[in-house]
Amino acid sequence: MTTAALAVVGPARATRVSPLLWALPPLVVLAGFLIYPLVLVGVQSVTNEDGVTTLETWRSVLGAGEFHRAIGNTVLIAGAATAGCIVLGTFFAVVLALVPFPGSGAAARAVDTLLAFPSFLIALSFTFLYGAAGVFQLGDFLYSRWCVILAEITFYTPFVMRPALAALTHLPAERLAVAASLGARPGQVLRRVVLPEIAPAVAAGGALTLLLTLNEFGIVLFIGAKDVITLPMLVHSKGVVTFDYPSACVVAVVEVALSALLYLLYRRIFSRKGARGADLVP
Amino acid sequence: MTESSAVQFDRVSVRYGQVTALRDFSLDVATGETVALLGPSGSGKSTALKALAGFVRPTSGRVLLAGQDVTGVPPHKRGLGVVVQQYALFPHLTVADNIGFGLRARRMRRTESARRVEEMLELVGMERYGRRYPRELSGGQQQRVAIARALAIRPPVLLLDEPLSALDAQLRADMLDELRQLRDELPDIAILYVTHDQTEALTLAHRIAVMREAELLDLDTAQGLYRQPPSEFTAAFLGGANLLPATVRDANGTVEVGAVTLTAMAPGPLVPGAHVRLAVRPHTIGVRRDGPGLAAVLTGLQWRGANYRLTCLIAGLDEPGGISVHADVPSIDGLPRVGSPVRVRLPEHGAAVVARAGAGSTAGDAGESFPQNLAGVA
Amino acid sequence: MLIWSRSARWPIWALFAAAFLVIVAAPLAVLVAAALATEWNDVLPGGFTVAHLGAALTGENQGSLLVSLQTAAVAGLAAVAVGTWAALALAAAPRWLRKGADGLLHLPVAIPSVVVGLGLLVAYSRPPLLLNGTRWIVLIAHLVLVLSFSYATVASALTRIDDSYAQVAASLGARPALVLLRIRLPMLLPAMSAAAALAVALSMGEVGATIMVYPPDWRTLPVTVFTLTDRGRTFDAAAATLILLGATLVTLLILGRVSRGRATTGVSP
Repeated sequence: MTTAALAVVGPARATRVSPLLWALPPLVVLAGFLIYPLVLVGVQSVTNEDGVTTLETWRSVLGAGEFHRAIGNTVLIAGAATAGCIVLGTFFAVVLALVPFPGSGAAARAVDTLLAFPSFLIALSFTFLYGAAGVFQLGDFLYSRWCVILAEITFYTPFVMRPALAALTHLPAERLAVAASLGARPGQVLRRVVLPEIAPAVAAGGALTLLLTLNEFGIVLFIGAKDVITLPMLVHSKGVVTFDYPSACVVAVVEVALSALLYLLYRRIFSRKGARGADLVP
Repeated sequence: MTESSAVQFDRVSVRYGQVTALRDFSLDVATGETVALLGPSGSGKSTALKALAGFVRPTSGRVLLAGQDVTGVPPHKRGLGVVVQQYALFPHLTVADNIGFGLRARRMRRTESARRVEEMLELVGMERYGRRYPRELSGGQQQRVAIARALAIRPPVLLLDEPLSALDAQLRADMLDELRQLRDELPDIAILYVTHDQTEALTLAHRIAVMREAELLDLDTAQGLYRQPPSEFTAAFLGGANLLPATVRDANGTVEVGAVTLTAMAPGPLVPGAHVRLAVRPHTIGVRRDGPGLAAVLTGLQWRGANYRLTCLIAGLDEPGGISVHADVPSIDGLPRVGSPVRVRLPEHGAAVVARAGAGSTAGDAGESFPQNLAGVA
Repeated sequence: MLIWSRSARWPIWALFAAAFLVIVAAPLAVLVAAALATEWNDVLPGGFTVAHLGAALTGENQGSLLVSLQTAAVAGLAAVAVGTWAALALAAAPRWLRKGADGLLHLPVAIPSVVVGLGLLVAYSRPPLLLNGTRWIVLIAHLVLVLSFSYATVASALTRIDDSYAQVAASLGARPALVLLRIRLPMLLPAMSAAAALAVALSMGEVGATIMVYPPDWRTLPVTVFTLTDRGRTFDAAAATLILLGATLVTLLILGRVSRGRATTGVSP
């Protein structure tokens, strides 16, 4: 009723056009700095050096082995990292909320501060931890996909842990106590009471993580593994290393299409979760 | 009529998309008068207040202030005092700055507005709290500040939207007293008071407008509505009357309920032989183990401190399942046990014939149409 | 409480501690140690020095730090301004516009930062507007990337503020402009400072779009850190990263102090 009331106040306060005019400036900023560039990326991808419209660039880029490997790497790394984040983030959240220990609050905040750090920090510290001359001296591990996956798990775990922790704080403690008093063992309580409750939050966090890991650039760049080329790395190398704009644009269009697909999925999940979450709050 | 009306609603309707929040609402409030808009949630009472304040724009109809049409006037040019449910005290401003907000918005000089703020703080008994922030105040204090803020601009009309609903029971009773005193200190102001609480309406209002399903149902003085409820809904909503089927014996108010004959108040001459509804207040009903009265079974008994509330099921009376009535009886010894047969005694006088079934509390009559005016009600 | 017996909790805590050490604590500790290390050819660093930190605060590196701070300040301020404007304007806009624009404003989250950079390169290397090679293109890239977050922060705060504040203010005689200035914006201030903090943190660490568009005279600290690692000067890179984190945290603390300062003036003596 409140939002409906607001919609009615508009015309009472001024003419009907004015809300549209007010919304224009930020949208102009976005159109000029995001939409227009993205459209040009699309146009550039079908335009060759001489300004002729052609699908030649698409053909050559999509046919190249390096592109196939990049797609494979991107999807594999994003998928594995997301799975890791979901497992680890859920575990962290459950321990911090339901098996608390002295200092668990501080630990939660420490994980949270990771969110404020740049992702390449993780990659940089990994060179000291897992590099040939580092703490663990694992040889070539640093330059493998697995190292990138581990680094992304490290960085993105908070993106799952945070919503899961938030969902757990909405879970009334009485419900766990009642379940236990009815004879359910901790494993059963976890499976039948806790996990279903936080599943929507974990799903939303996981979807966001998948989106962000697909787009992750800093970690891959800083680890600098020559064999681990991902789509964003390909955009970078084609764009500013070899200055082949049309090819870079083709890869970028593929990347955006992939992300947009996931983004729409994420917004759908998230808005539904939001609606249900609103119902849960008294 | 327009001359003396501080507020006038003229067939105001408000629609949100498909939903009609207020339908064809007409009401006059005179200067110095307090009118309560009483009804359950969703009855349109808050929408009426918002339409008057300018927070929503009527889909049709007019709103007049002191005879001036203000339907299209934005809220900041209406000059009304508004107190909303959760008070909406500005959290980043002190109590004094909250109260002075309207004065500063009107570009009143600082010294003058400071004086006015002092005056207002005094009026609501909050002299020492001017420099506090809203979050440092109790619920009752916040409510006083909200009223002082609304009154500081010396509005001709004060709108109160459920001002006591955020308070606990004891505080609500105290604040109700204070509001009544305040009302008496402000003879030049028209007050529109929105509430779902009949006690608040009965205590504060000169007249009560009973709202139901986006419409004005009944309008009369508090006493008039209580003694001679014009509709079944009002009879039940205001004072929780029992509604019993009765047959008219003669035009003067003699009616029969089952085998019992009694004299009831009526809004006008009655048609002998007609079937009507009788509003009977619980405290006027007596319950005995035996003797005269309607045969019934005691089905419920609640101790309420000062009295007992008994629920009795009267068989017969042309209702298939019988009729349940509530009776409030003093705490006496020898109460019958639940399940035992009793005699229900209706008052010889004091019951009232309800003129309209009027979108009543019984199912099935919502479709019937009844005159919206109050002609025929004394 | 999920596990009721104390003995059963220990294994879980041990597992948590191990994961926490590897995932959260080790990277940070290693970075600090590397920033202070003379050499690191064994399990532990060979010795400690502040020379790298010193190097990170002088010459080119210092320049990069200043560039990063300025970029974060300008992009952060602009993002909070545009984001707040968008949130307020869309709250009053018709539903179709609100939904559409909301999706659009969140879009930069979904688009890889490298692509945002590439797009700006392609779009602003040609008429009508030649920005490639100037610092403006870096600032624009940062603005686009942090705008989503500042908009989302302010917009969600706005939905939690009841309409009745603005309505009551209007009923007291305040024109819409005054309601905005004296009621709506002050009540949004905590959210705006949170949005600014988020924008600064993101901008300070941004590398994907910046590396695509930066001109030689406007190199941010993360790009410098990358150049250092690329040349094998990893200790200097670690030191510069530590400085970057320090500068970010100090900025966030100041922003937090500002917003909390506003809030605590609320408590009268």
